[in-house]
Amino acid sequence: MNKREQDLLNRIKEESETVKVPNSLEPGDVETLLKNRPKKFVWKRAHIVAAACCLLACGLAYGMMKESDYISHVERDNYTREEGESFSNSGLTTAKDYEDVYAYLEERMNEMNARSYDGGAEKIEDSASGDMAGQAVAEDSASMNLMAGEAGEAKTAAVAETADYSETNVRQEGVDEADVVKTDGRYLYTLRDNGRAVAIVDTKNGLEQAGEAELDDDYTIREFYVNSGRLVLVGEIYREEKTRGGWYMGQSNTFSVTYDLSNPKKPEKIGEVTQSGSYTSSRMAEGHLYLFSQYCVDTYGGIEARDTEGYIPLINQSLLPESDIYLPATKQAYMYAVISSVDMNKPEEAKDSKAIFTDGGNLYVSNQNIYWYEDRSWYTGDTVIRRLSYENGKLNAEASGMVGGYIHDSFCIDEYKGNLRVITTEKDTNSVYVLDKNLKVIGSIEGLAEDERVYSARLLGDVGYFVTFRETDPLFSVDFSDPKKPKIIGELKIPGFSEYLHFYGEDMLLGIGMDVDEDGFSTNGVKLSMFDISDNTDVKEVQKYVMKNVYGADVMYDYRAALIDVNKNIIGFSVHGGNGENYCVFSYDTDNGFVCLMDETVNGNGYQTARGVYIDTKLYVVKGNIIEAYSMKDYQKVDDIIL
Amino acid sequence: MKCDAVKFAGMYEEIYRDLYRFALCMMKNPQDAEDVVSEAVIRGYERVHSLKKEEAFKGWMFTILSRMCKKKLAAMAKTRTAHEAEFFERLEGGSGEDGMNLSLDVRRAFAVLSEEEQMIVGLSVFGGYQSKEIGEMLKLKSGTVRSKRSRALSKMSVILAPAEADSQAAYY
Repeated sequence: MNKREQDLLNRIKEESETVKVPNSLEPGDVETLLKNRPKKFVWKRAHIVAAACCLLACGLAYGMMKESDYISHVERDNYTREEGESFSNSGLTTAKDYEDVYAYLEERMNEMNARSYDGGAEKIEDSASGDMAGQAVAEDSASMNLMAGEAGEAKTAAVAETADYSETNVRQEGVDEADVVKTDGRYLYTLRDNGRAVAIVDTKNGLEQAGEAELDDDYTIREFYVNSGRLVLVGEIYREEKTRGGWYMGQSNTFSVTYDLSNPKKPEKIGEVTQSGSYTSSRMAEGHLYLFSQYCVDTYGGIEARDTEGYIPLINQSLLPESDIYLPATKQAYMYAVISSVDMNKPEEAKDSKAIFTDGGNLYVSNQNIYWYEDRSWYTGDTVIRRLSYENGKLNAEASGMVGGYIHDSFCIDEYKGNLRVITTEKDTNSVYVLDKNLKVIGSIEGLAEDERVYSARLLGDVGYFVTFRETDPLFSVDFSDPKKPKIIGELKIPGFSEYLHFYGEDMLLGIGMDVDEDGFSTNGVKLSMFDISDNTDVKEVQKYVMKNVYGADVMYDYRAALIDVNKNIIGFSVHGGNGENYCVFSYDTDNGFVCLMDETVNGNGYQTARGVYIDTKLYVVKGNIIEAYSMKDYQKVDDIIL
Repeated sequence: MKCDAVKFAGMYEEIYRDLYRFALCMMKNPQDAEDVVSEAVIRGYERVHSLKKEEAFKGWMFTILSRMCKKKLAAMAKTRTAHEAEFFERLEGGSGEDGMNLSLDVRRAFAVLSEEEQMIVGLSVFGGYQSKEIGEMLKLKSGTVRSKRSRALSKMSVILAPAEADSQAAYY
């Protein structure tokens, strides 16, 4: 955590010290309550103002905690890579039997029991991040954003998009990604606010609901696909169960439910696959769905070796064979990344499944490979990468390797011509690595941009660009034409930073980020930048647009929130500011720079994030149950529907 | 662990203020916060025998509390219009009688976060936990917790950024 973040936490803490705890929650009252606890307990509120002296005590307690709980970064240096530590073997070794797996969990439980939550012993994490944690790893394993691909293809995609409707903004052409809003050119599909149904809306004669795919109460749909006449819902099933530790814990299973869309008025359910763990992400390529979940074994509640169902992943209720479980790179683990492929012609079964037993990680999928990267920077300063090929639904572990530092997001890891290029932040500097197909480092540049961290990256063929930030925003250009000797060929310094980069036609690179004061502290609003990259040794910021009073945009965290089409010359995304959420559309040209075509309130305050999609000449702003249609000629509202 | 009401109350005394403040930031309503803390206390007490070490009590209670908040919020989401309206009313011009005692800035800052972000920030501030521990409680990777916390804080900073003097006036 950096100082600024720490200051914020402290400030929240201080400002919360005025909070009065209700009398009924005072220890004496609680003790009485517990002693006299009836079998079926009914809490009675005591609406009495608490004595002010309690506040004083709180304040003191806080002050003391602050001192002891946050650790300097000094300790971090004690956690360096272990000498001779080998994961190249363990990284891709499968379990011999379930007991093999159990040993890692047992190690974990031993550590947990030995640990004191309050004591000073367990200070690894923020000691690792004390100084370094400003560089929080920007990965959204739990929800989104997990994916990237060859930027070369991305450019092609952006330029070549001539279809009359928009598709989800994916990194990799040929690898589809799920989202909360989709269109097939006539129907709009939107995930309802309650997360249990996808509504199908016909746009042919104004907006009109045609049909719906709805699941049972304990299902939560996270996102979905509309692909080749199939609607595939993905998400998790949550049930609360009594654990062995004797207390209740929610158990999540990940599902894919597939519908045939021959009749959009009545989508027909044709298959379901479930696997252990909560949903992390998914991809669809060449007629196969790839489903990723994160399964945490309940080491808290305790498990027993003979009770395999308590710690081995289940795929459609069957135990995953030990030969499909890869052992972790660490000495102990409690989490699996579970991966299943589902053939869209047989959506009721998993074609292949693997589990990587690990301490957590993220994934990136190229056209041929799934890369599982495990950030261990908080204690060893490195990231372990494992490669699984996925041709036609068949999953195979291929290689394992390691780079220094951590990977900011999936745009910082990129496969090109069989090599993998990786941009990392390592301690106080940044590095560029090139790895061969065996994931051995064959080229590198280390020690870049001291005291800054990577904010965003885009790689295109032989050239890559990345942005680091502390006070100003250097945009680096890297020449990868000789993979063994990557070279920094350009560096542009401007205030603020870009969180998302997108190639915008020939020789242009669009950056969306925050404008920051020269002091590097206060943000002025969301910023659009256009970089001229025609001479990649001398990149220039040719235009800039700052949206004042806007504190964020979803696109900075999730690239799927962007609607960017070079041919139509539109850059659309929703922003959050003092007035709530607005949807904005910009055009760009050399003479006028960024021109705001539309800035309209997004209605609806549901949980789903807003998306813009277009069909022909209409732009649809969709947020959960509410769809609003705008003409793309004048960006006036022409229609809406509340589902 | 063997534990009677006296001992439980003793351990609870060390942490109850933070439990309540965490619950308040999550539930945004003093009554709901009070309810959820009391329910967590009951649940904790009923299962305290499964706890192996006293030192783990705080983390264990925060885990129980955060899960109960989550569950309660999910249940509320089904009837959330009323709840939310009430909350925003409080934001806009609540009177001093609402028992919040939480600065308007902090409330506003929490309001811009997703539930998960609120939980992560809440556990950092009131539990004093590091990302690894929060990750275990919420079943997230520590890297994810760090990045989410970082994002959450940058969102909050927009609201909490103005000079300290302003925020003092915003108390009620």
